[in-house]
Parts: sequence; C-alpha cells; structure tokens
Amino acid sequence: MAKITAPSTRQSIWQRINIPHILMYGVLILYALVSVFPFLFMLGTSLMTTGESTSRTSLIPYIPGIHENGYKLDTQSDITPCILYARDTFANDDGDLVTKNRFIVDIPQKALEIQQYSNYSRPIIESREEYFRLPFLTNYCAAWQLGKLGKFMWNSIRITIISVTGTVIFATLAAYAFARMKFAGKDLLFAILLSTLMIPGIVQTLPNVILVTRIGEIFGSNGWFAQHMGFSFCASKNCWINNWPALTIPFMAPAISIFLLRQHFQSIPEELWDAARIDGAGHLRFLIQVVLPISKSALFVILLFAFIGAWNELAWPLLVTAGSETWRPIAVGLQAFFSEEGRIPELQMAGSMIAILPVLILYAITQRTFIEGLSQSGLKG
Amino acid sequence: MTTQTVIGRETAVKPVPGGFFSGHRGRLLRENLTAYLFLAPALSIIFTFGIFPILFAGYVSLYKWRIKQNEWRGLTNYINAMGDIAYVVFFIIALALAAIGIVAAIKAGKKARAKSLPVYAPLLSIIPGAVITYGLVQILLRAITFFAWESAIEAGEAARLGNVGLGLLAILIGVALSLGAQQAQQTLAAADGPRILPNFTVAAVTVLISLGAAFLLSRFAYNELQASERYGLAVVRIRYLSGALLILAVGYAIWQWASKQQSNLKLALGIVSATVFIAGGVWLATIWPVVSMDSDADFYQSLSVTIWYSLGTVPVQLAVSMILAYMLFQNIKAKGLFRVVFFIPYIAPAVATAGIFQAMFSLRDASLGNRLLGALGGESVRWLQEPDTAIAALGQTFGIDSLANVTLGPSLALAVVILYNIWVYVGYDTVIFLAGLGNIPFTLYEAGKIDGANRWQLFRHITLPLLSPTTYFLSVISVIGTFKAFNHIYVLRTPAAQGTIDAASVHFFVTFQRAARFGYATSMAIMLFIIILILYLVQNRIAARSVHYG
Repeated sequence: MAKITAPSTRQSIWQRINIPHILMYGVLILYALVSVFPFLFMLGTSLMTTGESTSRTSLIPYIPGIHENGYKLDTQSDITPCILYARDTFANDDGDLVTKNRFIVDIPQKALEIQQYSNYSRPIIESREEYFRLPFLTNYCAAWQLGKLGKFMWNSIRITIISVTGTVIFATLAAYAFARMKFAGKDLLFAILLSTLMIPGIVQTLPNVILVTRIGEIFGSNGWFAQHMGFSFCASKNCWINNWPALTIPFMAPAISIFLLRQHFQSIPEELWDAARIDGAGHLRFLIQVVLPISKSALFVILLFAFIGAWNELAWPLLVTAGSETWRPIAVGLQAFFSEEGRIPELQMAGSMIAILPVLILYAITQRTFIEGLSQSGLKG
Repeated sequence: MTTQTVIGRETAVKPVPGGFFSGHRGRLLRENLTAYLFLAPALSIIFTFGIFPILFAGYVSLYKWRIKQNEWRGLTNYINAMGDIAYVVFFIIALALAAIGIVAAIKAGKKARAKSLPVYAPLLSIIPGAVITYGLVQILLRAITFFAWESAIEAGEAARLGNVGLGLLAILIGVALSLGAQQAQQTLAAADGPRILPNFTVAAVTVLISLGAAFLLSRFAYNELQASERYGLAVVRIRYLSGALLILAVGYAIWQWASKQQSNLKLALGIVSATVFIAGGVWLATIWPVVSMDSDADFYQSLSVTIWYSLGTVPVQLAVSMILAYMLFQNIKAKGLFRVVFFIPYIAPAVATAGIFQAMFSLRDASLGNRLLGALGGESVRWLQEPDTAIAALGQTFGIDSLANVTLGPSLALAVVILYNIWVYVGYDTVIFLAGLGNIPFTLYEAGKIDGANRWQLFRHITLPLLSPTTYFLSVISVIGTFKAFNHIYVLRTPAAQGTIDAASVHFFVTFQRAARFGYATSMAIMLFIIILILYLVQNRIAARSVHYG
C-alpha cells in the first residue's frame, strides 16, 4: 500500500511547489519591502540622536542593553523624558505662582544646548513633582514644539471640517441636478465640469491669488461691502487671505466629487423617485430624506478627498497663508519646519512621522474605502 | 401617507387654471428653475475659481504685474519667455483659431443646405451674432477689470472697462434679433422644406469670436514684431523656424497620405516621409540654439526638466506596476494585503514622504544613498544637491571618466525625484491595472489556452491589447501629473541643484511667489496650459489608433 501511495504524495508536493509562483511571491514581497522601507527608515531615524543620525551606520537606533558597543550614548542627556505628567509650580502670564497637575510636552534642557534650537525658549518652572514620564520621544517633542505641528494639524482638521460641510451641500445639490433633473444646457455644463479636471492647477492657482485677494478686500474692514452696508465680516483689511475662506471656499465644489456623486445618484432606482413623488415629495425632500441616507459610502469618499486635500495641499496655502499662522495647514507648517531646522535628520523624521501617523491610522481603519475612493480620482499633486 | 397621496392626486386632477407654473410648459420651466437653483452655488464656485481664472490669467499676463498691476506690456511677457519663437507660436495659434471659425462657418452652410435653405442664409445670423458677441465681450471685460487694481484703473493702466448693463441689453437685443433673423430665413426656405428651422446664432457667435481672436492675436503679434529692438534678427529666426516646421508638416502629410495607399507605394512613401521627418528634425536641432537665443533660459530649463521627469517616471512606473498587477492577478494568497502595502506610499502626505527622501539622499557620507554607493564601491555623491547629469555624476564616483562629460539626461538631483515619484505612484497604478485586469473576460483566456497559447502569448495577445484603455488612461494621468508635480519637488529643491529639479509648476510658482512677477509667471502658466492642450490632443489621436476598446 505504502509503495502505491508514496509516488502520489510526492507528485502532489511537486505540483504544489510551483516555481513561477515562488518567483512571484519573491518579487511581490520584495516590492512590499521597497514600499515600506522608507517608513521604517523614518521610524528608526526619528528615535536617534543627532550624533547617531548623521554618523551611525545602522538603521536601528541605540537601545540600551542591546547595543553595548559602537556608538555610546550619554543616557543621562540624550534620552531624556519629554512627555510627563507632573505637579508643577510655575509663574503664569500675570506673574503669579500657580501649582497644577498637567501633561507637559517639553524639550529637555540638554537637547536644547546640543542642538541649538533657534526660536524656542524654555518655560521656567519653580518646582516639579513627576508622576510618570515617557522616555525615547525627545525628537517627537522637539518637532511638536518647534514646528508647532499640533497647531497646524488642528488647522488642517478645521479646514477639512469647513470644506467638507460646504462640499457636501454644494456638490450634493449639483450632482443631484445632473443625475436626476432635466434642464437646458445640461450636457454642455457637464462637459465643462469634466474639462476642468484636465486643467493644470498652476494655471488656476496663480490668478486665483489675485482674485481671492481682491474678493477679500471687498469684504474687508474698509472695503466696498463695509462702505455700502455699514458692517464688515472681519476686523482685518482682507477677509479671505490668511483666513479660512481662501482655503476652503474655492474647493467647495470639486468636479471629481460632483462626478462621483452623480454616478452614485444615477444608480439609485427610478422607482424610489416615483414613489416619493406620489407621496408628494419634491426634489429637495427626496434628496434629503431618501437619497442622502443611502449614499453614505459615496459621501465618505468625498470626506476622504477633502481630508487628503487639506492634509496634502501645499502650493495654494503657501500663497494665501504666507502672512499668518492662524490658518496655516500641516503641509505648509511641515515644509517650513524642514527648511528652518537646518535639515537635522532625526527632527525631520519625527516631524514626518507626526504628520503621517493620523493618515496611516485612518488608512488602517478604512483601507478598502481609501483605496477604492482614491483610485477613482487620481488625486494628489 | 394616505392623506398625502390623496392631496397629490387632487392637485394632479385639478391643476390651478392659469397659474404661471401650471401646464406642460410651466412644469418644464419650474424644473429648469429648480435645477439651476440646485446648481447655482457649485456652478458659481467652479466658474469663479476654475474657469474664469484662465481668462483672468490671460489678462494678467498682458501686464507688468508685481503684486500690484503696473503698465500694459502686450505680448512682451510671452516673447521674453519664449524668445522669437513666440511669433511662430502666435501665428500657429491664430491659424488654429481661424480654422475653428471657418469650420464652424462651413458647418453652418452645410446645415442650411440640409434644411433646403440657400447656403448664404446663415449670413443673416451675423447681425444678431455680432450684437450678442458685443454684449458678451462687454460683460467679460467688466468681470475681468472688476479684479484689476483700482489704482491701475485710475491711472488709466487697466484696459478698457466693460459695462454689464450695456452687455445685458445687447444680449437681449441680440436674442430678439436672432428670432427675427430666424423668421427672415424662413421666408428664404423652399416652400416644401421643413417647417422648423435651425437657429444659426450660436454658430455665428462662434465664428465671430474665433475669427476676432485670431485677428487680434495676429495684430498684437505683428505690432510687437514691428516694435521689436531686434526686428531684422527676429524675422530671420522666424523664417528658419517656420521652414523647419513646414518640413515636418510636409513629412506628416506624406505619412498620412501613405497610410491610405496600397502596400508597395505605402512602403516607398513611408521611407520618403521618414527621410523628410529626419531632415526636418536635424535642421530644427541645428537652428534651435540660434532661434531660442534672447529667451528666458530658466523657462526652457523648466520645460526640459519636466520632459526628462516625464520620460524618467511614466514608462518605468507603468511597466513596474503592470508587472506587479499581473502577478497579483494570478492565484496569489494575501492579495489584499499586498495591495494595501503597495498603496501606503500613495496615501502618505507628500511633504512628509519627500522629507524622508531628503534624509535618505542627503550629501552626508553616512546618508543611506551614499552608504549604498559605498557598498557598491563608489565614492559619496551630493545627490539632491548635484546639478550634474545623473550619468556623469554616477560615472565619476565609479571612476568611469569617459562618462564625466555627459550633459544629456536628468541631473542626479532630478533622478532622486524620479525615484521618489515612481515609489509613490506604483501602488496607485497597480490598483488601477488590477481593476483593468478584472474587466478582461475570462473566456478569452480559456479560448487562448485551447488554441495552445503559452503564458507569454496569452499576456502578449490578450492581456496587453485589452488592457490598453487602462494603460492609456494611466499614461495620460501620469504625464499630466508630472506637469502638475509640485509638493515633493518644492520640498526636495535646494539652491545647490541650480534649478535642475524645478519642473514647470514649481518654476512658475517660484517666479510668482519669490520674485513676485505675477504677469510673467501667469504668462508662463498659460504657455504650459497650451502645451498640455496640444499634448492632450496628440495623445488622443495616438490613442484613437492604438487603444482597443472592448
């Protein structure tokens, strides 16, 4: 019996081991490594000290107890805690001494001396009682503090929220009209809409700066609007530049979102509309009560576009937030941080990590929607 | 529910008599009004910030505009950027505009004949057409000068202001006149002809606008040439350049003609056209340094950087991603996981990932790129700060002196940018290719297998041709993407690289922001727009021949 079964199993093993298949796995795994390698490099470098990142020959940072020879760290000064929860006594803005429990993101004094951070002054603390500390994150704290990344991130989120709100309202209405209504000039308008996708952004960006500046002046504190209506929308001379309208309003009707929503709305069966009309609903009621609840996935893709746009866009915010940081988004902040901090690799990598992390987390949660949504757009400049 | 139904039925049975929105016509009107109400916000944003800027860019580019509007410069910005080549380009554009107008006129004539009208009947529509065109120009001028600087208007530097009221009035009169013209045309119609006549007003407006634009452009260009300081030289250059272009055009015409002939003649003519092409190309290459003198070298450098950038990224990117997608499409485990991993570089913020590449390819001896070179036995190079060509720089570190003087090809700095671009976009292209592969019917592969085709033959004769729409789409997206490329280049650029990685968009941006030369930067952006338009048309034409749909 055994003599008969043996060759058959051997054959099946040979059938299973498929040389081209192994080769394919090899290539695919190799490219997967290529894809993630720069991120690993970033992670490794972001945990190093300046000495390590510029002269160390390994990609893995010094870990006490593992790396005993080679580059020797001064564990007292190099790896200093920077996030802690402590009971601090310090002088507040009015000069009074206060005692408070608080989370602190702080750059260690030693790191400040070594790296000569330019525009950062350490807050003075009278006394400190530590509850716990997070070591190894010196660079992250430095990048967070020096690059003001938290502020810029919050700005990007605010911009996303405003532009998504606008986009959902305007794009939904327009997409619905294109999908469900009959009106004169529909095909022409739709063709114009699609043709805007082909226009290179820079042709619009440059003149738009002038347009937005002028529009902002009209609504500004001593502009046309204030002179004729007696009140103005903002205290400054220009209401749009360095402010949220310039960053969001021009992006509230993205052609690609309108196009995708229209495709989605067209796939909704005609019977639903008939039923709604018999029940006495008009277009707006039908749109709000029937269409929107069943279009959540499409709306999520639009939200994703707005988020990626707000997180990635560099050229336009560079032009319209040049004068103030109040609304400067993360991409501009990070770029400025890169060029200001003299290209210190580990700080740069920590900054990149901070900017990438939220996107990576969102991607990990919703990768399927992310991939399908973004591959429909060819977005990203 | 039920009460609503009853109410709905009642109104349906008893429409309000005489109401403005009742009856078939009223319902149509209401539907139109609602639709435009729905569209109004989105359309106003798209027109204001998407389409109008292009017209406005045209206006800005005619001025010296440094933050504030200064004096009128006509086409000087364009000529400063392109050199005397600009005159030839203007002539070609004017010719194209005139061709559009003439084609529209001929079409109108044909349409008239099809409706048994005399061919000259549409000429009558010129009158309302002219009035409407006048109105449109008035409104457009007002819209454009609305954004001009007040001080410039006061100083008389801004071009003529339009008048919206006058424009609207003209359009109203024009529409009324067009109805009259339609009536008049009806009397010209043959008695047995069809009752409903076409309206030729739109055609007339098209003809007037395109011919007018062609006329204005050629007049501007001619005046500019007359006033030029190097008039004689310019004329000689124009003559040379148009000669070269003419030769190329003749070569193309012969080739077109050849493709319609029988096989033997086709071959002979093909050889002839190839010869003509090569001759024209060689001539163009020899005269180019002369004709492009007196131009902005940075402008041409930014274009050539863009071209090298395209050539370096698009083919490699498409080939790699096609191979990966083809592999993923086989029976592979963890397909989804691979897809997710490949896509990570694409979703990560460009500024941050460009920062990673900046650190990996810095000029330090310990940077990753230099350590890699060291492992291969070369010396350190300056990577992103190296303006020399990649071949020369890499040849030098490996001690191949014969390569040290190569000046053709992208700079080493640009090579890093190309590498970055490939790394980012392969994942995206792979996902699109995977979708394309999924659309190929499986039965075709079965049929191929029955016919005894091997794996390569299946790929070559089924996958590749049926994937060509996807390949075409991706190549269009990628080429346009290289023209748009901004974020990563802006992060990776260093003064030491001497602008060798400043692709078109970045160069224009820097001219605009750092040098504050608004007029000049927009004129360059418009030239880029025209180049992309031409590229798009050419790509479309090529695709019409070689892309297999279905």
